[in-house]
Amino acid sequence: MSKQTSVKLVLLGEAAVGKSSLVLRFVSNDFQENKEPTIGAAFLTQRCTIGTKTIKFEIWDTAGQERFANLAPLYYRNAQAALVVYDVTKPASFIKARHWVKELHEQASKNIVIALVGNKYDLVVDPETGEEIEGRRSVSVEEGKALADEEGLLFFETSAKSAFNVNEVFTAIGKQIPEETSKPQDEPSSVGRIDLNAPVDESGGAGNCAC
Amino acid sequence: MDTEVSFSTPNLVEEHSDALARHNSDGGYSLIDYYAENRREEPFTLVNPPHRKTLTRTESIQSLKKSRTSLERVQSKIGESIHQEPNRLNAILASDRDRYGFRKSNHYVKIEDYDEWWTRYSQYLSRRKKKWEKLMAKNGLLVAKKGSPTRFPARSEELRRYVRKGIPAEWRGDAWFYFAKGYDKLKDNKGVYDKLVDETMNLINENTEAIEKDLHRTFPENVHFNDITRNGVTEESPLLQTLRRVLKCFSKYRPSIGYCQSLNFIAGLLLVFLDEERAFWMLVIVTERYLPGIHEFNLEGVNVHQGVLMLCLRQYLPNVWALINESSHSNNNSFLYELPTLSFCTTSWFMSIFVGVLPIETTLRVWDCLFYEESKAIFQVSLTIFKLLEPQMLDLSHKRSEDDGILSAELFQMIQNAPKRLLDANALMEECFRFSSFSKLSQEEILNCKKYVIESRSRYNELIKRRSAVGMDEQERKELMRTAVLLENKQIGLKSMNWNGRLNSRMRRIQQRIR
Ligand SMILES: Nc1nc2c(ncn2[C@@H]2O[C@H](COP(=O)(O)OP(=O)(O)OP(=O)(O)O)[C@@H](O)[C@H]2O)c(=O)[nH]1
Ligand SMILES: [Mg+2]
Repeated sequence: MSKQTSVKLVLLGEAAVGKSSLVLRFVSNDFQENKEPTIGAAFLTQRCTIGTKTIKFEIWDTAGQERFANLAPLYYRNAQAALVVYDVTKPASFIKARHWVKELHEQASKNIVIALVGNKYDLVVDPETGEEIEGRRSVSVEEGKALADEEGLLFFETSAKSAFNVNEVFTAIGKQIPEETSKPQDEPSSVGRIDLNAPVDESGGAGNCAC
Repeated sequence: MDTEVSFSTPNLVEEHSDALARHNSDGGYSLIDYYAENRREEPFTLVNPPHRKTLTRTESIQSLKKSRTSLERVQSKIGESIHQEPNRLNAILASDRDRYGFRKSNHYVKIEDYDEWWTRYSQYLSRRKKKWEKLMAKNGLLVAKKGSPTRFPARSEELRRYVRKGIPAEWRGDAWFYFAKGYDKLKDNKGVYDKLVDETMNLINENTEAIEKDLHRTFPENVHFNDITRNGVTEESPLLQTLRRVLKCFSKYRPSIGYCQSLNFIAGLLLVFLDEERAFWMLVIVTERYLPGIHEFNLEGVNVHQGVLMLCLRQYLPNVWALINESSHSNNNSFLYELPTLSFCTTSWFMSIFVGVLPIETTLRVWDCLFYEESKAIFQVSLTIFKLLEPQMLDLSHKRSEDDGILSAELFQMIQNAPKRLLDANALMEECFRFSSFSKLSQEEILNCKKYVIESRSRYNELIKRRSAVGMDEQERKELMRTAVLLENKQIGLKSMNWNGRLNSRMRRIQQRIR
């Protein structure tokens, strides 16, 4: 029997950078061209097997508009992991990401694992060749890396649309979570159990993620 | 004598009656086809969606005129589909869309379930429509066959019962506007909306940028909110152009709110039932009378309303409250300052007035009651949802994790997802207004609770301000608050407390304990 731990993860970042889309990709392996803005917060779960560890992510996806930041402390209290997301084509969203990282370091639990995520990578590459197209991106890889190094964060560029690097982010977070901080759960029967509250035709949500 | 004027049968319907007849005669619900047919008559001149282009003033006015006409078309089209005779309601069964253009099925509702429910509900709707017609006639209000009344009977127990059982969809916009006293607003503000449209035409600021981000993310599952692409040319949905104008005008008219995410959903749904100008004023009325403070910049109104909901839960559904309440002291009110974790799930219940929370028909029934009965309806419906979920919640309660007192993930998921399956609007409304202990909850009680929550929270915020002056950290602040709340519950008002004296010595003791 593998050991199961649950990890509370919160997503933060400017409106429309793709937070909900990253979660939708991770949980249901799906993408929606026009995804409705999140009002307040949405809650989802996904199980992941990493080596011998089974991790149950309890994901809080938050609203991105500035004024919702007033509610954010409620969301990240007790969070063990955070995804700070920006849009690689929107410089303002990177500035916002910087602020979130700062706030998390000041306010969230001390050993929180943070991943910095530059999303919408598909917009800067040629779908045929996979090569970057000049002039498409507004935030360089170096800028992202520099911030991540400075603040001790994991760093990824992703695309919720093409699924590029999405599972990798969560796997990396799962690996980074120290055993003792995640909440142990002694309910082995719940692994792989069908979740009655999961959406009806959602195949991925109730099962295990193939990370 | 009152003679009724109709708004939903403008000349445009006549103009397109040919196309309509065609689409009706093949028996299928084909709003989409009808849409396409209408569009074909328009020359395509716009290569880019209008919002991508900076227009000159003359161009803008021209494009405005153009899109206003298209809007009227969209509206007459939606109106027409809502107006379908009862036997036409069956056409919905043959379509994958409901009568407003929303997709019938989604992650939570299977199409078979929708159809089964709709078969019964559509019969209920035509029965109710006949009753409404009788009620109107009894009150001397005549309604043209395909018209909609602009006046309704005087408020009465009977009318309230009728509203609770649902306003006919084809009269909905007019009824909402009438009950919400929209005509007074309109009379007091002649020409204001047109002026706002002019003023905001080329406006670009933080609000308009936020609006652009959300425009295409508003009801993407509704055909009227989708752009139309033909022969590789994409033209922006006229309804979205209208939505943009309404939201831009609102952000200018109410600078203390500007644009707030969730207003797109409220304005969008209003536009399905009302013309542009009335939808705008309705949005103004919603934010100032029905949901004051909810969308303001600091969102404090959300916290206040959540606090009131928590008070209601404690009062009316003690078993549910026992599950939700995370405060260690069972009879203090600290939950008013530090809202229970569960309140994350209910934020959108207030902000979007159940749009996206409940299925659309159910949402509309809630809106009917809201506009007739004031904001108490939102609280009553929220309580009803919890009441319906109570057995399942109790089942899950053993999963509550012991280490941090946070509700189990399953419970959150249930509270978030179960309402999306509440298709049976009648069951919800009956539970709410007939069988529940809170069916008699009055608006006055809600207002009193609100006053209490506002006062409590402002005392708390005052303390926080002082806290920064004394240099306490988070941990200390929480301790202090708990102490203060305990003292308050022992009838020692915070106001009478001497900060420098007694509270300070208490703080010292707390700090020692922390160390
Ligand atoms: N091209 C591209 N578009 C994306 C990607 N991820 C998201 N989008 C689109 O960007 C828009 C916003 O995505 P959301 O996931 O709703 O963004 P969000 O951060 O959750 O937004 P809020 O809930 O408003 O804070 C949607 O229309 C998505 O389809 C991506 O990786 N590539
Ligand atoms: Mg979102």
